[in-house]
Amino acid sequence: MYKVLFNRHIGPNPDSFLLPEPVLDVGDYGAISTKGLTSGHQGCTGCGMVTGTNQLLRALKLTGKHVVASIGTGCNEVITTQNTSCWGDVSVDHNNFPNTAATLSGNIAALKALAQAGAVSPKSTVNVGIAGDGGSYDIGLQALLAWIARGEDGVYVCLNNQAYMNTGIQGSGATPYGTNTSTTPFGKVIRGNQRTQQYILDLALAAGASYVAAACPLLHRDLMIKAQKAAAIEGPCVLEFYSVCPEGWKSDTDVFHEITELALETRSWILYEAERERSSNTVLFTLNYAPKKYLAISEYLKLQERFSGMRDFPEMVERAQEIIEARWFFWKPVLEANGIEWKEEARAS
Amino acid sequence: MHPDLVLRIAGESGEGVITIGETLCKIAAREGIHIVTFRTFPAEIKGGACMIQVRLSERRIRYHGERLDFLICLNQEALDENLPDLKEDGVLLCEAECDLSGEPPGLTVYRVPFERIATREIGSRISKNIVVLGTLSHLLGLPKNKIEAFISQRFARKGKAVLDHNLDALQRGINFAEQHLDKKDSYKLPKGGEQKKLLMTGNEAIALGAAASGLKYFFGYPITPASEIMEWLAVHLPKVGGAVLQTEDEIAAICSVAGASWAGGRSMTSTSGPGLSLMSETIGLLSMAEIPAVIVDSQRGGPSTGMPTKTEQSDLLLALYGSHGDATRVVLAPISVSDCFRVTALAFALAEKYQLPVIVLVDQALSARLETVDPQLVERLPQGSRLCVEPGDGNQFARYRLTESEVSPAALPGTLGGEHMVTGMEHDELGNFACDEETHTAMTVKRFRKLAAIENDPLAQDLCVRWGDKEAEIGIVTWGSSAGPVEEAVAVAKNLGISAQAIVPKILNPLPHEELKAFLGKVKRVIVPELNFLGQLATLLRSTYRIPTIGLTKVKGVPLEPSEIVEKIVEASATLNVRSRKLYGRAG
Repeated sequence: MYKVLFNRHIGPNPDSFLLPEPVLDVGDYGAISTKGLTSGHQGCTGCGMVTGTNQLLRALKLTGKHVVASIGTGCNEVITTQNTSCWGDVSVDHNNFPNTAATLSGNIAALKALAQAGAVSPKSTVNVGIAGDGGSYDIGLQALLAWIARGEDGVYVCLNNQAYMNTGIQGSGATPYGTNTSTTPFGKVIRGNQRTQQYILDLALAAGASYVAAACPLLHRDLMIKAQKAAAIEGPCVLEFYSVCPEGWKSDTDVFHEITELALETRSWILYEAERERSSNTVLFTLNYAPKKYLAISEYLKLQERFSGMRDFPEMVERAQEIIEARWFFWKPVLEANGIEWKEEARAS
Repeated sequence: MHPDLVLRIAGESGEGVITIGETLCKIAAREGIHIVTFRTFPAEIKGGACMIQVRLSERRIRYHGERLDFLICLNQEALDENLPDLKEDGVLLCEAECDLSGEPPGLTVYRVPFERIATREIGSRISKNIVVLGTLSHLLGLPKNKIEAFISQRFARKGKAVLDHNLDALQRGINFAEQHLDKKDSYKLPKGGEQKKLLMTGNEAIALGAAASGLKYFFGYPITPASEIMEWLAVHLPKVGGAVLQTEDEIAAICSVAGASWAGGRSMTSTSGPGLSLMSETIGLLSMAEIPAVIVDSQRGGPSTGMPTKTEQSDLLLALYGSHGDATRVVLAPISVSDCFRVTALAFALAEKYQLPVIVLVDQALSARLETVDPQLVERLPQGSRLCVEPGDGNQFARYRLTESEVSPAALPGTLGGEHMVTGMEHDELGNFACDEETHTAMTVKRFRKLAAIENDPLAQDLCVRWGDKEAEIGIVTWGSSAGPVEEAVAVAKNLGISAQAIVPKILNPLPHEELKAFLGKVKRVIVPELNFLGQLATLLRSTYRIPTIGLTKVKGVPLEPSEIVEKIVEASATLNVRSRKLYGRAG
């Protein structure tokens, strides 16, 4: 285990006690000079993954380093490999489904060796691995945890759209409770996904990551701060992006904004980060967003047909709410320090 | 009246192109017409060009047809792309706004403003495909009431408004055709048989075949083009008391199969090439530990991630030899959708009876194609079960007892007196680790003798399909879904006056030596058409029977065409009197 400290301040946090100075807050930056994922990709209309990758690359390039990406098989690979020019000046290595983090290791080792041999200047690159939730929670978990355990300096990004969308919407370890997918169909006896989703950032932190952060492309300021921090902080850093998927979530293509807002307001997606001081094994947790009013999870279920089955079963909705409350309880000390109740009933009364 | 109708619908993914094809198939299947379809899948997750080709016939068919009789195009791009495949005297039904300036003169052309009718008259662009169905109803003589019944069934759940909308679209399509289209061609829906047919895809047939054979535990991991097997079973297997578990990767899937099969009963996984690569180590374990398992590989373009939505037959050598050491396994390859059903049942029978892994090789084209099958298919399924004993003689249970039949009686965990360990390490009869000379030899021989026993087992008889003149000097050997075009090619060659015969073994390990030897001994030329670059079946035949072969390989991601095979037959027939080994290229 590790010592837990909480940051009293809630909100985007460009500072880090691991870094000599804060990273750029693009909110203060004005026009952003860097380019991310450019035109030519084949992402579906309303895809959150494309926006997330775009913001990630733009933020990483703000460091002034050359971006070297290792990408695993998945939606992100399918939509960016038919016209590879969309990656611009990023060097990309596409590997197999299970191996994103292992390939990332190879990239890091090679660049380290090249730097030692004087062939490239040290620290001139930022190495990033990008995979989906299937490639991170399921088939790629072993490689990811082993990469973290080795303590290598790099960034790993999980673009989480909460199921295998590329192969036809099968459930993954990140699929929320009650979701209707093609392998967790909503039937009369078994009602959708019966398991509770896992949380990759919890696993990454337990494995020894230096920095973990959950972000969403809707709040791009926060996301881009986190990407820069991950690039700057020494050691393995893991980011997870909330990635709206109209195709798999069976939602309209133009409600990207609304769905993300609901995810934040219902706390089904919590924006936070955790930084580890390695010598004392202390982890500082920062909550980056606290809703003004807690919305019930039933609101979140409305816009997405993948939840259409469970909406009619109050006990299932209640269970989903319990899962959220249990996670939110963790933030009680921060909320109390800011005069915010952690439970909705308490706040309503 | 044509006995056969090859029809293709092409447009943009999301326009309902596939729905038109499937509706046509469902209506025709109920009329007892034989159907084989072929469809392409765009590599994009959403959007992109797509098409479905439907062949309707009075007789049993195994191929979706080469040249088109009837082409339906919903946009200019689809027209430009597909027009070259239409026969010179074929029929073209297209969007009125399409530019037809380069059109061949012999065509019968019908132009319908589908887009305008859908958007202006009905006010809904997505009902365009139903307008097309209405037009087709007039042109092909599809009974209107049957289309209506189908639409009602399909849209009933979406409420009356949506249903009325679609019925209106159908009527407008029919009205337009009746008023403006003067039927000039002679194509009609072929005559049906008396019996209604079932319509299913290869993947559905595999899943259904597994369920019908008593599958209890399915483990899998999503992968195109095999995912539908897991999806179908996830919905239906629990209804018959089975369980489906989606694992975190293919290694976990096959290892779960090993665990469940040893501990309980019939277990299976399905995957594609990349998954089979990951499973290779465990195939060796299943062979060594003598655990029954069925593994379905729906092949796609490779290597590596390759072409997930395109077809290829390039995993044969992996299936035959994948895994280190001398690992035994049976390899089966169905040739049609109905075969997918029966061969899956056979896979379970052999796996259970001989306690080894059985790999079923299909490919994307066969997995995804819709085909009609006879309802009698389920009768007399191949049967085979695990030899289990009730131990209790007081001695330690010998899980790997050497027997006359080479099959050692098993005991399920929990059987009193049957406690034992199965292991991936070399072992003696009791399952103790043993690496002495005698044991390794005896146990390796035991494992391979099971394959020899399978060759003589009644279950593995009649697994070769043959076509053509049995005296012909030109022979064709092929496997899997390439059988369909070969069957057609033999018939076309006959019409050209060239006699050829073909044999298609559905079991590729162990090979049906008796039938193959007789066949290969009779013919003077052996053509081996298959969808891979190496000529994998040809390699197997050459190394097994020391015969020269003429390779016909194709790696375009689409099935072989009969004309390509006919060309090879013609070439080979011209050389029948030439005695030279130069005829045979290196790769084939």
